[in-house]
Amino acid sequence: MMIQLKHIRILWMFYKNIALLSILITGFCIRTFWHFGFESFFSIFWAKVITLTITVLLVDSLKKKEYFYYQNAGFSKSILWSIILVFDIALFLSAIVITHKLK
Amino acid sequence: MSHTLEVDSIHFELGSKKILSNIFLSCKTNQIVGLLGKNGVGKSTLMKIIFGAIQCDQSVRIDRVFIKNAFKRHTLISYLPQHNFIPKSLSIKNIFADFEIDLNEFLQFFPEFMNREKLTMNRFSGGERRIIEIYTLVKSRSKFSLLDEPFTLLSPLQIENVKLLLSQTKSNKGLIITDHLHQHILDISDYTYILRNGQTYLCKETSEIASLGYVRI
Repeated sequence: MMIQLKHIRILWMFYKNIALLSILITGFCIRTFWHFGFESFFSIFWAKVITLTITVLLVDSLKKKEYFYYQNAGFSKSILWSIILVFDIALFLSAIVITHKLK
Repeated sequence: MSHTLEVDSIHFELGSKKILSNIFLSCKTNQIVGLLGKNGVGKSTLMKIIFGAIQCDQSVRIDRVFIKNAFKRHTLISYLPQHNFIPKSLSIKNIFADFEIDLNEFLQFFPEFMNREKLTMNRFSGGERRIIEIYTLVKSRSKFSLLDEPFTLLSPLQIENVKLLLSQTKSNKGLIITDHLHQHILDISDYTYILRNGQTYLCKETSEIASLGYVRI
């Protein structure tokens, strides 16, 4: 499937379901990382993974009916979540790296 | 160009209960095919299986090519579920951009939406949302559309408009429709299948539908 602007728009729309909560958690993790440094990384990483998992389960049950919109647009549930989670984790790790360099 | 959708060899069980066992269904471009049956016989399940949203033993073919998870190629089959499914935060404009649909054509067909194309879905009534959903899927690029209870929530006038839309659209698409308002299905369909005891029965006359116990004449 060739990536088009409309695909990015659809993925962004789906990401918005978890964006606020996820960015808040990432912000909290970065703040902790800033204060305690690299030794806190593994605790922060697992905190992010666990909260992200809870967020995914919550959104999955609340937005169950909307999956048909994305499926009709050509995105299966697994593809949607895979892309969104890789993006969110990449965003989190990039923020950690930038914080580490700025510190 | 004409296309053919064929479905058979579907076996679906829930626990020990056989839901679908002896299914044959076919639909061509330029045809509207009705699918009727009592509550709980598996009409929605069958549509979800064809669409690929439910996995089971099945054989779905388009132009004799075996298709699994049809929705992954959205130019093949689209599916309208029984419930409203478009995210409430989207406007008609956003939706039509996602599915590459001409907004002006829609406004000509349904002028009651004029100047409301930027409103989000949560600002529309259930019936209006249903019309937007039907139009979106019917006008999408898919070769076939499966419509599960499209007339639910619609007023009689809206139903007539939707029937007109479906009859006009079938020239370049195959449509499979199920609804309990069977008379509307019979009005627009080229032929009908009755789903009963896990099997499909092809019916071309209302008397055949009655003989299968779905309606009384």
